[in-house]
Amino acid sequence: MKRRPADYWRLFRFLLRSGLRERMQYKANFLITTMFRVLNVLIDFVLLAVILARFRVIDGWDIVEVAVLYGSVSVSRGLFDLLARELEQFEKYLVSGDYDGILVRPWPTVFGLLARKVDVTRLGMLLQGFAIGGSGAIVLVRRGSLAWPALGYLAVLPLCGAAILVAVAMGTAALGFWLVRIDEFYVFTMYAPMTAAVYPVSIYPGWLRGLLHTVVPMAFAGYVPVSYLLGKGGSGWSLLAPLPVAVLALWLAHRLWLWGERHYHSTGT
Amino acid sequence: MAGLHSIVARRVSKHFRIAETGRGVTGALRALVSTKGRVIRAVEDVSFAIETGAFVGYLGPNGAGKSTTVKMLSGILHPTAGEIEVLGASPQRQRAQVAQRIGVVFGQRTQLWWDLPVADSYELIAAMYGVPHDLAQQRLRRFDEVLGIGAFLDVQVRRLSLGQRMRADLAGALLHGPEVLFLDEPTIGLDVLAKAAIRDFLREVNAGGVTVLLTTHDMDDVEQLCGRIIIINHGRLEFDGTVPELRQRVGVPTQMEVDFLSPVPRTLPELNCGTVAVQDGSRVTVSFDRAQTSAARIIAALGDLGEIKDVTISEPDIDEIVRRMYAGQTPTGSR
Repeated sequence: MKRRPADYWRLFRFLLRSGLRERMQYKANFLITTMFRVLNVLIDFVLLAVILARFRVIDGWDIVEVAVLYGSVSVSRGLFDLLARELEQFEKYLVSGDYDGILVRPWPTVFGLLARKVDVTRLGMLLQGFAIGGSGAIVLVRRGSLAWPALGYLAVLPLCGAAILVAVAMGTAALGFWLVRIDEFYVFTMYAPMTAAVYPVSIYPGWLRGLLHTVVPMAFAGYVPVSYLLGKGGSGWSLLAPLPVAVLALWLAHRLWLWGERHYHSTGT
Repeated sequence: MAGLHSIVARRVSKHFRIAETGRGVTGALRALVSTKGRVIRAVEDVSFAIETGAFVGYLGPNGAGKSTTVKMLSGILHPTAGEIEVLGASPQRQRAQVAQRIGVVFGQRTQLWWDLPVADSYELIAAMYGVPHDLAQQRLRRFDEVLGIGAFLDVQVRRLSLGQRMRADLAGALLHGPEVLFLDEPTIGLDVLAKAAIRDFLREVNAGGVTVLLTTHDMDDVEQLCGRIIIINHGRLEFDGTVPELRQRVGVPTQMEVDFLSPVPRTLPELNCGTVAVQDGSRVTVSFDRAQTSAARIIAALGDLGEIKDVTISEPDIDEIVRRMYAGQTPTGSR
């Protein structure tokens, strides 16, 4: 059965609306959660700023430059959280057998899973990432170390970043088809790499740099293209790389997912 | 192509390997590389073909492999061996295509959105299956007539009672007009009235041409709905035929309890062959075979003992029938 992109978009808009409605059932809860999420991100950045204020520069990157890096990773993360959070909650579906309900729907299972919940409280993080990254980028343009057109590039880069995160989360979740208990795995594949990618990747030892360029290619969500934009090395390829990396990662993760699905156990009754 | 048979299973098996899974990353990794573990043969070499428009009961004791079979037929699990065809396609290789044309209800678990009102869940389902708005509303009105779902359309799914939720789930599974309906214990835990409402509805759905496969423990479900029954035990197919055929084969015993106003003598009147009566004070419990005698004849025979206060008749459950199937034969095969 062939589905056109418009079909996905129509259903997705519908899901977004019901996700919002579902959240709105508890208005106070919705506001408080959103506020805390924003606060959380703020504290994150304050910590980063404190470290930068102490050291002034990290491996040649000053606070404004790191802000751009931080912004692009945060927006990627925000997009991921908004759309694909359920990939990180997959253990729940495996343990309860709720994945059964996704398999009996006439949609690709990954889409069906994502569609179970669209978390609108994550919009806060997205906006915050845009604000921090955006103001950093504008300061750099004023300074003359970043060209105007680079702003457009930075605005769409997080789409690749989010796709890479989706791929990594999908690959991790796919392991659950065999292992079931996978909650701890996300620490290694998602949280740690995301935290690491906020800093210039060049500060890490070789093995970790390697991982961030291959297995968990978060370097391409910020460091690789931003380095080139700021004249810190790399070539024109650095700007193009995030797209093929994201596509390849998604393809590999999806292969693993489909393979894993054949091993899905469901639960007894 | 619909064909003569809507559901076909050819020598289908499902084996699960159960590994000892430890907690945490190391435990999980150890389980992944470990070759130890037991193999559970949940379904073993099962074949059947179900005609389009049939209403089939798929029965067996707990753990017999009923749910595993339904999950394979509906595309949730992949068989270890064998071939499945639902509406002429493989529910595994052409999952989405088959899913569009089947409906699935699990009695234990809702398919609706837990935190959304029932009506919103239906809107989502209509959007998922591409059901036009007018058609969806028209179907919901019809479901309301039989199932009374209109009374709780704006209630969140998690606030529904079990009976309401079951009705809501049934309507949700039929909203897109499926040609085949899989039901896994749809009457479990429901009271008599709710069960009756659901049976009436299922009968109507089936009369409309929908092929239904029902797993249940409830012998009343089977008697009232199923033209054909398939029984599995320990993952193997044990019986495939009609209810009268099953009766003939195992002599399904019906239990009747007759309460008298005062204690009755120990010596009971002669009853038909195969009928066993036990006296205990003012109560007589009779096991009999409906194929050989009727409840009325037994009551007439017992009437001489005294004035009858109350009579209750209960049909045996599936577990009892399967036990009886084995009683006459020595167990064969190995597990």
